[in-house]
Amino acid sequence: MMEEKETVATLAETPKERNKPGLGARFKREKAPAGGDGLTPEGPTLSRGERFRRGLRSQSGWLFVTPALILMAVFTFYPIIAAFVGSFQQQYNGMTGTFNGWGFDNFIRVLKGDTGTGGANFVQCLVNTLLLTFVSVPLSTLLALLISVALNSIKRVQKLYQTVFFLPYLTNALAMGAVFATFFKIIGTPNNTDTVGIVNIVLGWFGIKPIDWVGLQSPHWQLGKLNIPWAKYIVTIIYEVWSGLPFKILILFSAMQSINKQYYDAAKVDGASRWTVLWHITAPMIMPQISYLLVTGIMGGMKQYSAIVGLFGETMGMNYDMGTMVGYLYNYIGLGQTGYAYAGSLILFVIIMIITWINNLITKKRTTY
Amino acid sequence: MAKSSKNQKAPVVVGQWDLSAGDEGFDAEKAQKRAKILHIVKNVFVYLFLTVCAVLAFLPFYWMLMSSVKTEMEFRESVPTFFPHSFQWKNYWMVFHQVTGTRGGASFGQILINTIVVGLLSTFLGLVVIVVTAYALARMDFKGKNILFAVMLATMMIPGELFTVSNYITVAKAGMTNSYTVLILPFLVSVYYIYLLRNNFMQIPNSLYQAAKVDGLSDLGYLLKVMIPLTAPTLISITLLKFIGTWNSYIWPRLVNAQQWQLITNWVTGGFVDRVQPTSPWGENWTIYGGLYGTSETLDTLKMAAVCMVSLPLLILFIFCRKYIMRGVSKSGTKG
Amino acid sequence: MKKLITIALASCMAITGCVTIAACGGGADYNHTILFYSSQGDALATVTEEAIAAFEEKYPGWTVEHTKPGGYDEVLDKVRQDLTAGLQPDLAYCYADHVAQYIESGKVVDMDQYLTNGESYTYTVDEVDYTVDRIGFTEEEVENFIPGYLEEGRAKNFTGYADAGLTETALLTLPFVKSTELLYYNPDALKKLGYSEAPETWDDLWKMCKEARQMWPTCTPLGYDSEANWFITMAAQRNFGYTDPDPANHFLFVNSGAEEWLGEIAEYHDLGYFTTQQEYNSYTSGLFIKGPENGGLVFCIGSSGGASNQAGNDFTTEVAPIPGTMRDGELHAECISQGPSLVMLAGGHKAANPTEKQIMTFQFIKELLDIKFQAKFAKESGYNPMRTEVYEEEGYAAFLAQKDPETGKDITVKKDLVTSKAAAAAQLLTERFFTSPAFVGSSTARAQMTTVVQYAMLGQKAPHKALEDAYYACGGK
Repeated sequence: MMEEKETVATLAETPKERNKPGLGARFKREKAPAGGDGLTPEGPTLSRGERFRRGLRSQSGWLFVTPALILMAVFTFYPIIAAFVGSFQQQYNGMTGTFNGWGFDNFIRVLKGDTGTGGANFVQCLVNTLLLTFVSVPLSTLLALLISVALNSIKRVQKLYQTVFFLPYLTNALAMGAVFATFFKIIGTPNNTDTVGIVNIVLGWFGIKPIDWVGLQSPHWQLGKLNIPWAKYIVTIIYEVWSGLPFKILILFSAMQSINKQYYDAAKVDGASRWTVLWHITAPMIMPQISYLLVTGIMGGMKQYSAIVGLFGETMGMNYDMGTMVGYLYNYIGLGQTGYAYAGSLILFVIIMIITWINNLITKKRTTY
Repeated sequence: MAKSSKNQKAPVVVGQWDLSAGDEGFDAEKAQKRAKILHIVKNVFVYLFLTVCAVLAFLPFYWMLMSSVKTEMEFRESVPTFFPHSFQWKNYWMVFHQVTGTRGGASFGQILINTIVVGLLSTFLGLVVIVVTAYALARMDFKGKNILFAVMLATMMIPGELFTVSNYITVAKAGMTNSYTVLILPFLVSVYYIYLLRNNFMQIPNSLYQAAKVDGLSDLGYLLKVMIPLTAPTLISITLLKFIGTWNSYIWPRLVNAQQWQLITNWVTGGFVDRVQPTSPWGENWTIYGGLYGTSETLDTLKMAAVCMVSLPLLILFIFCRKYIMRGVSKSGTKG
Repeated sequence: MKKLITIALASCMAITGCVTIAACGGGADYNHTILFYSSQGDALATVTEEAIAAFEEKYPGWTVEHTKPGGYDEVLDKVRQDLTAGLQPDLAYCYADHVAQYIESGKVVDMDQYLTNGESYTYTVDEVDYTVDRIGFTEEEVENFIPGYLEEGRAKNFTGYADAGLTETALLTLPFVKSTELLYYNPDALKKLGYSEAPETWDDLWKMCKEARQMWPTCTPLGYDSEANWFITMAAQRNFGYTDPDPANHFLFVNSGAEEWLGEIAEYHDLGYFTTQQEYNSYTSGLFIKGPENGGLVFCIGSSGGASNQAGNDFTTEVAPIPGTMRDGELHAECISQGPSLVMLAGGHKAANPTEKQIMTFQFIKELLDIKFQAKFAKESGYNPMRTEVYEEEGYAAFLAQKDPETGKDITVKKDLVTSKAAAAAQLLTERFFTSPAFVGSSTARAQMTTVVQYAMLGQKAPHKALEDAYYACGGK
């Protein structure tokens, strides 16, 4: 009995260890306190030239990262700095390069929705993005988990199912958005409907009246200045769950496959029920993957754009009521109002930081308890 | 028949889970039977669940395939047809022979070549940069490494879309517009993949390196013969993901390049509006488009046919590399 | 280790190589290439090819690169972004609204200096001299431009020209072709309703709509393609405010007249009398051609430039001016003046000889305004040419008379027939043309009007609220 408990304990330990990216580095540093390759012994008897050469060599890592660094300096760091500076330049005009003093004017106008140039509303876009992300990401992760568990418990036609579930990944986001839109779209005029779309036809079997899911008459709730186009939300969430599934199933399923069979055998000997096994072995083992999926899913969700354009067109619904944060950026870049775009994305950056930070707190708690 | 086949299946599937088969010794026949029935029910449920999900996942894909061979009129019919009245392979011919009219326009073939060239180059060059950088970050010690890595990670939190304007000005000043380079260069470095690969590299025990040294393997040999094969699954996943990235990009190509330098998604989003009719081998009979060809209406069937043509190579790539990809993500996915 | 360093260096060099190759090979030399942006579809672009070919033949060594970023909005976005990056085209399709924004950049060229310039110009390519006999048009030719069209492009019509160092008489845009909105109707359906002529006023139109709804319950009698144009046109016809060039108070559209009209159309929309492009999710011409029996339209109001899309499936489309409004015992039937103009921009792609570039760009403009070419382009598109000589050109005159220019027989191809009718109808409307003021923010106001009409007709916002929101969105306080 004792022995087995130990086994289980080590099992529980493994994913935690795997979850520490720093482990390898620490391990290596202990072994190799100095020197690039960590093998040459450092001695006091070395000549000056030799020491210089070694010192140089120990910094040769820089040489390896140079290509990436040059590219990033040009295409990542510089734009970030430019955006940071630009977000404080009031009424910047890209065509003339002139602006009206420094200050927080852009931020205030973005938050108040007072940009004076038409276009998307920041708060609306933010609410859309957050709502869609925090519903669709957990939902698709949960569904992916269920499918993976089911997939893992069968042997026949497993590969076929695997391929089928991966299919959505290979398609083009914009085009598939358009396909989904045709499922929901009412075509024709209010006086004469050509088709109410497959979804409405199916709903009709249950006596539900056709709903204009993606069109101008799409039902919505008005909360003060905020617009909650719930029907469009449902369509988007269905699309995002669908398109998010393949990658999530891929990761979860392969993680389950790689769990050592011995653990299950040990549990079986212990007389654990199937549910207990799932909850006490499988779940902890794939916890890192789940948290990884949630984090990357949320990060990706905060940047969603193509799916919305595919579903609702370039204007992102009626008067940008389905706008997202990235949609907001593009909208103001298109309008030539880069100051607002920069300010908006800096706010988005802060929000993503906070979310990541909260997530770190939670995952840390979970792994160190 | 169906039931009996499930009966046969049951013991296989149950395998490791089958508690009744334990040798505790209290195996009454009844309990065993009940457990068996329970398992059959469970399996039926599992298969049912998977099948429903698979059908739903497959439906949009199926719709796309079927739409691509419908006539434009059938596509717009009031009661959507799940199976086309007749197969219009002409749609595919049309897509392939599309030319956006004039000089300065482009043909589908040209766009396909662009996409493949850009996809291959950016994937290959990108992999080189990623491997080299990840290697340095994982295996080498140099001053400021940790700060550099932290800064790189932080950039992941900023939406890349923000860089569009500055980068456009940069490439414009460098005179890089209207070229393949402009589609490749800005996206060579992907912190996300560097991060994945670095973690993968770090999982390889240092003892292997020492063993390799003892065997007289050079550093390059070590990277090529040990590290790359060990992380091959991850590299293959990165390859596929990078390819899909090229396949899906359209905003940047549209901004920086004229039509003949753009990529496949640009082509598809054009919606085949206002196109000049190519001379077809079956005469000038365009009834399948109901007179909508060359007007300002979007031709969805052609759009779908184009997407199908584009998805196919990716599907083949996936089916061939499925095993590696599965292994790759199971390793790299552990890193939050 | 050394080998690894070599790899790192090699990849470094590979990337640098890429950059260098791109810098040298990728960036085309625009010293003798005129970059032209338009929103033409493929069919029209094919026609434009002829002007380009003519230009290139006349001026060896020079070429034209014709880029089509998309619709007018995409051209605007692209030009604006290119102005930021210094990659602006030499010539672009434009609306006055757009030019109001380009002016700020200081890159808009005053074309007055070339318009009637009688000088000759000699350029050198590969050490061979070529001469442009006369840079500009002759006085006579300019006089034959349709009166008013040329004046629309003068700087005084754009706010902010003085800040950009332009004089009041500077010529910022040249009209290329003109269009207006027309009422396309189905004469067969009208006959069944007991009418032989198109409605002259909105009241008549709504009355016919009512009857049409009774006769064909599934039909939508009217389709209006552009919500914004509708609002702006009604503002002119009913004389309620829309916008004003005065920078102190640009936006006048929050007023009782506008609210009243929006209230009316909301009612008509409830009765199912009309639909719009945004509601139908595509050009309403797609509905029109089906006929009212099949759930289509009886009337469709759309641009004369899109006439070829209006050819009925089972009927012969007729064309009439859009309805007017009876006010103070007089018929006010203003209709909007649209169609692409041309704007010349300086300094794109750092041309070696900017003056020469501008002169040559003007030579290309001359090809675009050439009588033969204008006739051809107008025949293809339904747009109206901007020179009176074109109307006298044999082929075009025949075309307007619904005759095939080559055979002299009646036009039978439906699309060509509608195009011919539309061109003829639009030509007669020049007296009624109006334009709205162009200033920074006028395109925002226009975009907002689309939303206002949508909100109002669907009853999602009360007219006053919709207008106020639009006012706020335009930056009004």
